[in-house]
Amino acid sequence: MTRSLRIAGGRVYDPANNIDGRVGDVLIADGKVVASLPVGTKPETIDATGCIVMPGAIDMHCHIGSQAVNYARALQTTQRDANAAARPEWFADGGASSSGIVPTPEQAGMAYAALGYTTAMEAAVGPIDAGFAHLQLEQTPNLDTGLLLLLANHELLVELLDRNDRAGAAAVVQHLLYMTGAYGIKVVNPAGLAAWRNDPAHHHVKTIDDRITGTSVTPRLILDLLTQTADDLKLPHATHVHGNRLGEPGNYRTLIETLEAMEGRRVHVAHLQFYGYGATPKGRFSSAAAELCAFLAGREDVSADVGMVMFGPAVNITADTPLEQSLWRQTGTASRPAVFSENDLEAGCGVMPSRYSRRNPIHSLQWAIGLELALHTGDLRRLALTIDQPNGGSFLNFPRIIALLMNKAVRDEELARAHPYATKQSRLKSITRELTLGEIALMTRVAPARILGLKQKGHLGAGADGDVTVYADLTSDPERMFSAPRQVVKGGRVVAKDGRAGDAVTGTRYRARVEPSERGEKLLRDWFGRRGGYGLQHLGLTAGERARLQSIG
Amino acid sequence: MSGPKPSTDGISDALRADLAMVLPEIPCGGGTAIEAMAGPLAEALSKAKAPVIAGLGTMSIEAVIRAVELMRDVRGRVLPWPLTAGTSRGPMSVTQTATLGHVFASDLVIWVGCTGADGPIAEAISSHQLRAALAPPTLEAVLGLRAALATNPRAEPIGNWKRVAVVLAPGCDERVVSQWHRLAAHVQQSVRVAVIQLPDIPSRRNIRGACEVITMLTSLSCDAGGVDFADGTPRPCPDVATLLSLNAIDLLIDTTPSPIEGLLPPARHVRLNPSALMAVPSAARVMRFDGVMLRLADDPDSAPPDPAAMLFSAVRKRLGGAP
Repeated sequence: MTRSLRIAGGRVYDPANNIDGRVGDVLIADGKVVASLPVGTKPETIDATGCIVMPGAIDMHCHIGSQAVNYARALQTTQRDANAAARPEWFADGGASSSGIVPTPEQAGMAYAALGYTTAMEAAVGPIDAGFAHLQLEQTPNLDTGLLLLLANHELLVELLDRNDRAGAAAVVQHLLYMTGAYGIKVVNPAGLAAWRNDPAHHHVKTIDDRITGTSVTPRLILDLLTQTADDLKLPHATHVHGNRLGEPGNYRTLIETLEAMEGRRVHVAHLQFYGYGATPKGRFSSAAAELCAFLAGREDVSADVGMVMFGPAVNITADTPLEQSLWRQTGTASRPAVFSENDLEAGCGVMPSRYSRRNPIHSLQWAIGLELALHTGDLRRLALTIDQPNGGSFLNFPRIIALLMNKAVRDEELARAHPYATKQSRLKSITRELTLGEIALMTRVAPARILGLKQKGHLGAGADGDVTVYADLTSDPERMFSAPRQVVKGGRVVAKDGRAGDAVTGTRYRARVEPSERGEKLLRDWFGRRGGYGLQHLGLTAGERARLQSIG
Repeated sequence: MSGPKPSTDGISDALRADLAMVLPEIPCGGGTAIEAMAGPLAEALSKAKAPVIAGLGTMSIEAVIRAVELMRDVRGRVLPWPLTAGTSRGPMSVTQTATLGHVFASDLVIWVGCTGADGPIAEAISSHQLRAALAPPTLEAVLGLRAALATNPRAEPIGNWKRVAVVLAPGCDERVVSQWHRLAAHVQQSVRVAVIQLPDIPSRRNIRGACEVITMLTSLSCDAGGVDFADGTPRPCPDVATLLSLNAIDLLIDTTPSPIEGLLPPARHVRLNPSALMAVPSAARVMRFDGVMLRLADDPDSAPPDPAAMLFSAVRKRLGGAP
């Protein structure tokens, strides 16, 4: 029997279908949006009169299920002040078990759903950790998920590129994507970790043509390989890039240089805010948000997500271990327990609790740059709202970020409380733009779905997933409105009401539709025989486990 | 796809070698004995007010998940091991570690209180890298080396290499372990030093997997000993010795290699032989000391389910929880 739902009489914001606040019904049958319900069905009805209706929101870059995330969970056991950021009432168990801003899979699924989110992408998993990451995503209710595979510093790929065996390297990428059930390719500091691994005293990759010591391999070569392979394999999502020199003054030029070198191949820039840095004549940080946005405006082939930071607790989780080591050394080591792990010559892992402070000039500027990026961007179909959970703070900050984007008065009030360096070195104060509800729907629904290549997400047209969020119409108080949706529907079932998660549903895990590569397997088997720390048979997923994932592409 | 060739007992030599780094012997548990435990265990749990399951480190990851769910339902406690799982002083200020593949690729191995002949993991390391130095497992040794490197970054034995692995013996003093990690963190810009500690395989087994699962499901580390669900909310709880001294256990489900002693009547001691709780092959996984997940079968898709996971699911079902 068809299970159906009518969300009746709400003001619908569905920018992908050019609907901007039109009053109407959303119909769902068997988990999918339909134009009309099958004859004879008696749908459940949600009265959305006077409410705002949007597709379910998507967090396209977050860290919710990996070995690094589990290190963060363990570390925050002693970081009780992190509780301040969490909203305990959003957790199904009453929240007392939420010891910080890195929740358990169950808490993450509940809390995301309570905020109106129905899809989330785990943004950084090394091949060695893919099994554990899938285990965590499997335990995450209410969310459709996938994972991006770290590949830009794998020793075998560096070795093959150095031998000029590009076809072999592409075959290895293909086979690793297949074995790990990954959704896409993640690049972190391309060649930077490998350079550090080979020659720690001369590791810093400053340009995309710097070589890894003892090889001919550069970031450019690695990016060429990965972006071209993503295109050749027709992966649903572009290569997802955290480039070189993240977090350094003047790094926006490195990013532009990187994107120019990609010669039109699809690229997604992760957490753009961390690349929005110009440099003052004295080499200090300034905002380059306007310059970056101007560049990106002319590049249809490039998308990005914001990577906002918010004042309060955060946890740095990154595969960019040189960066994390540098942060650890700069920020006072004694009070900050940190974990660094070298993972079988394929990727790095650094985890360290952190805090963004209004009194800190750089933190304040980072906060301002994140907002500037969203407010300077004309085409918000290519810029998704993210906080790089938990790097920029908890995803529970999303309602506050939306309020800052929609209301200049709220923004100015916060800017006044931040360190004056943010006002001095950014243009935030002069920006009068206030995003509309339609634009918020673009950044939180349309853009991430489009960027991830999830055609059934981010809109409410016939055939879309029945993921819908119904908000009370409180446009004068967006933070309150987005904090506690009236109803959140996942696959046609109500999973949260009034900002509280209810009955949980099992989400779908996605993988890219990639076939195995015989040559890739042979090269991997040989490399595992020489260098691997475990048998290849343990890597990733079995055929049976892979079959439980939904292939996209 | 060509896979590893099974040996005569249905397990490939490659799998046997991998699992030797986690398990002291290949377990062949399961069967009717385990299935028959479901009823009595459910009955005992239904009467208990302060149940504890101790020794999760002897079970697979799949079984630990089911055990934690069960104890959450009955508001009991879970302990990866009778003794504290990590350091008793909380997390180290910095951990600078690596997986085994990285250790294999080191230019130099420094053996601290052990040698390359000390068990299957040490033997695997020394089969990849024979260049070695020995250091005593003392604070003086590590602090002396740290001081030497502070004044001369090229101080021997670390300073002239690019990648160095420090391999510590099981049971090394926690302060010594901590100081090696600190040394490693402080020289990263010139030498990539990674620190690992060899596990005592017979006693540790899947302790890493058990602790990771507990952290995943509760957001708590097992530094204090385990996790308590008594009031419905997971909270850190002390190790079994402390709980026994407080007379805070009325039902002890004991899966440890050596039975726990000291439980006073009328508290009930239910002993589950750990060798019966895990089977190879089975569709389950364990975690090596360095966080690498290993499968318990060459062909997991056709392997039988994990016996302990089945047991705890059956108990949970009998008690009215989700199967």
